[in-house]
Amino acid sequence: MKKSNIVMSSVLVAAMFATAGFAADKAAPKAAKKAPKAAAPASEVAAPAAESSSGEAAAPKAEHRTPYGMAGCGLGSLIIKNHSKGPQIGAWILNVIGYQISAITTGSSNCGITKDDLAMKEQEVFMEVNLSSVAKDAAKGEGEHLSAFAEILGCGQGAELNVFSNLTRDNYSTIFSTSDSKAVLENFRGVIKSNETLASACVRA
Amino acid sequence: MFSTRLLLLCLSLFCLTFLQPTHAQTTPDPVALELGRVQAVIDDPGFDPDHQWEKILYYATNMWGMGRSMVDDPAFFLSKNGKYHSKEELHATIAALFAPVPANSEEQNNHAHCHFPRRESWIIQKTGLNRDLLPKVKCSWFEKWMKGQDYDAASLIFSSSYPNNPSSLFGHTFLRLHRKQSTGVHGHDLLDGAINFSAYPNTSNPLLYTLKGTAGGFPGRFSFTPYYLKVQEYSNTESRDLWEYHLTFSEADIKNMIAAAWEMGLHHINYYYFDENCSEVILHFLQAVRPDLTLTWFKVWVIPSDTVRAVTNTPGLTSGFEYRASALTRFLDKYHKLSDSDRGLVDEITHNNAVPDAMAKLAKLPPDEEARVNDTLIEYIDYDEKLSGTKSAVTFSALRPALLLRRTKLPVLVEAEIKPATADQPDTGHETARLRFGGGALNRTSPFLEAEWRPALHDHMSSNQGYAAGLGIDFFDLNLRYLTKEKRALVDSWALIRILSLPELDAIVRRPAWNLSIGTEADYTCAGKSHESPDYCYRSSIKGGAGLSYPIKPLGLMVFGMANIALGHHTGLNNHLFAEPSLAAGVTLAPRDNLKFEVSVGTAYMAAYRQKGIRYHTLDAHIASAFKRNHELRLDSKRSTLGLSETSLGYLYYF
Repeated sequence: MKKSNIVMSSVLVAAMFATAGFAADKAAPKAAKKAPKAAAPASEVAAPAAESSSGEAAAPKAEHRTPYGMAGCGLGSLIIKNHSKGPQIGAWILNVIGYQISAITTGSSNCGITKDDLAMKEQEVFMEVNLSSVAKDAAKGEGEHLSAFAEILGCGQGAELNVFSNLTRDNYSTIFSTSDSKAVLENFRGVIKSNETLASACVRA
Repeated sequence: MFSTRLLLLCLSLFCLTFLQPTHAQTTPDPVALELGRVQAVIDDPGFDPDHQWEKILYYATNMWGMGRSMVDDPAFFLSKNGKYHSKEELHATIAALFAPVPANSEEQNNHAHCHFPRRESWIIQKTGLNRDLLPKVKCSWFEKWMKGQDYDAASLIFSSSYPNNPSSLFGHTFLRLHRKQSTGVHGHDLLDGAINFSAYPNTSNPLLYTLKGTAGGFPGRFSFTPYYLKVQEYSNTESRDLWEYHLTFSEADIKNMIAAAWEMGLHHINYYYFDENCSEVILHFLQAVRPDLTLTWFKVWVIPSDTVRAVTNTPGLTSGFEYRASALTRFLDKYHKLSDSDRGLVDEITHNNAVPDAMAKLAKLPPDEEARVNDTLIEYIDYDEKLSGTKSAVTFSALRPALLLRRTKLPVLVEAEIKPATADQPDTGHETARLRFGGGALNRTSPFLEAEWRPALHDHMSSNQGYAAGLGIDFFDLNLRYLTKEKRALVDSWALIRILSLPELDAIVRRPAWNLSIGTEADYTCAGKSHESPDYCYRSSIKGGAGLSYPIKPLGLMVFGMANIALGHHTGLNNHLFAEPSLAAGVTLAPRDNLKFEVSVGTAYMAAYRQKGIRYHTLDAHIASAFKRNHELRLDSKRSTLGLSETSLGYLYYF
């Protein structure tokens, strides 16, 4: 009698638990809306495996084109998902047990684009992913996101980096007048061109 | 594609079998001779005594003791039974390496030489296969992928768990590939690469999500991304510290790591949280890179911090670690370095969020001091807003840009490196599975013996060493009791999950304390109805609550109070459902990380359908002493006005 009671109790609790998980997750559908946004730039670079952490994953379909290879090569499509402030109860029950949901979605092209395309894309991607950190470093006059960005532009070493940091700081309000990463990148290029040292040092700007 | 490859394979075997004799009659074909020699080598019973080949194929013993590859994509195998028969797969791989090369340059990418570079390098190393005798294949996809990427070192990265962010309670592990010459040059670590294994959920229905995740319904895949992406994700968005354990891999090992990553590529491993989660797969991946290593062992549950310990406990595999502070850690570090009055100013400005007033107050400070306060404010805003990428501040939408603009006019400060607290170092924590043996007495008259098995992970009374303070998470905790006088064995308690978070944070970043538990436990008073001690009933419930925790630091005390609600089922209430609101308050004293005392009181009202409501009070006391890393003694005592009085002493072993 007692034994059956404990089984019954456990089953009941499991059912309640599942219901609670279901009811609590209002965050997931919201996140799913983000998915099309992630997929769009992926198709732009002919990405065979558009990955989305919360929406409908397109990866298996893509495998017909390239049957194997390493994901994440194409950096052309990256978005940072908006995180709601509170804990996302529904999604977490699996997260708690080592189940990882990526906060940042990468469209992996599996080398649908070439490395040369990548070099051009690299600066855009870097700025898209790191803009708030680059702006902070630029205002302070130093920092690893700023120097990493300078490195991508080709002027991340020694004295050139100092010139770059100072110039960025002096032109802060011009460069960071927008939160559009591509516009910020253009502003950076404009400022670099106006400086003789950097115009020749930042070879990839 | 797979069938094409099979066809090629068959063709090649056909050619080799039938063409060989004709060649042999004239001059022996060196290629055929080499193939025969290599086949003889692998057929030798003494070949590969330590089963390295199985590591290359991600073989693992599953929960039912069966050996098979974790990889679930059939395209990963060249033989029909490759998932279950490693030897068959080895023969097929060798034959495929010798297979004729398609004329079409795109098709060449499907040759085993291009698809399975890690397998090839291992076979060459172990059998002495003469590389020059293999067909010449051009792997344009791989070359394109590797172009411009040059790595010479790697780290195992652990992203810490973080209280109050349930998605990160367990932490996560992944790998960082260091660009050549990137080490030592400050700031450019961000441009390194990251290899990550994670699930790709294909549903957003939370119920399906849970079920599919449990049953392995989601594919898990590797991805290769810039490290800065991971830094933004973990350090800034989720405020999790990163611990970077430097692996002592040679350049040849790094080549093998890249080959292994490519070879595994998009092939999926069904993601089970039990035995094929990120931590477990990363360990298997490291074994595929270095098959001389044995990092995996049978464990019901592999937790990310277990991965770290498996690697750091292997002699000579790591050489120190680097630490990357999260947004919250960066803020707290700066905040605590300020004077009392400047801290007050930070509190005031973030509270009022009024730009002109804030800027006027800041301008009164000397420039260096203003710069430090400004930096602290920015770190606070970035932490609070989880800022990363192109996101703009919402709450502090005007304050952040104003502060940054002002900052450009203030002195450039040299940032001091943030040193992690040694207590937080994940490799120094206790293991995550636990057994407890002990005994005690119910109502002073009925002695019992008990044994507990808890597969994961850490409760808040255990030593903080290696774990976030004030956070406890237990899974599948099962406690069995034997009442010696009554000669009766019973399940004392079983918990699906038990979480308690008592954050020790400063006022400015205070977050609520909260708890959640789902489980079944024996009620020896049968809701106060049983006076013929000891009888027992079962109470099953979902219980959750929130409240406040407040550290009184000079005394090493933490006081907390919580309001809870439990919903459940009680066999002592004629099997009716019940609802039970309750209040609890307590104090924890931790003179050291490994010695804790806790006393708590509670009052509850249990209301069940068609039953008289039951009001009762409780008094609990616990002492825990972790006298060694994996050994602990615990004394627990519970009293309730329903008539319960229980004391038990136990020895806990973590493994």
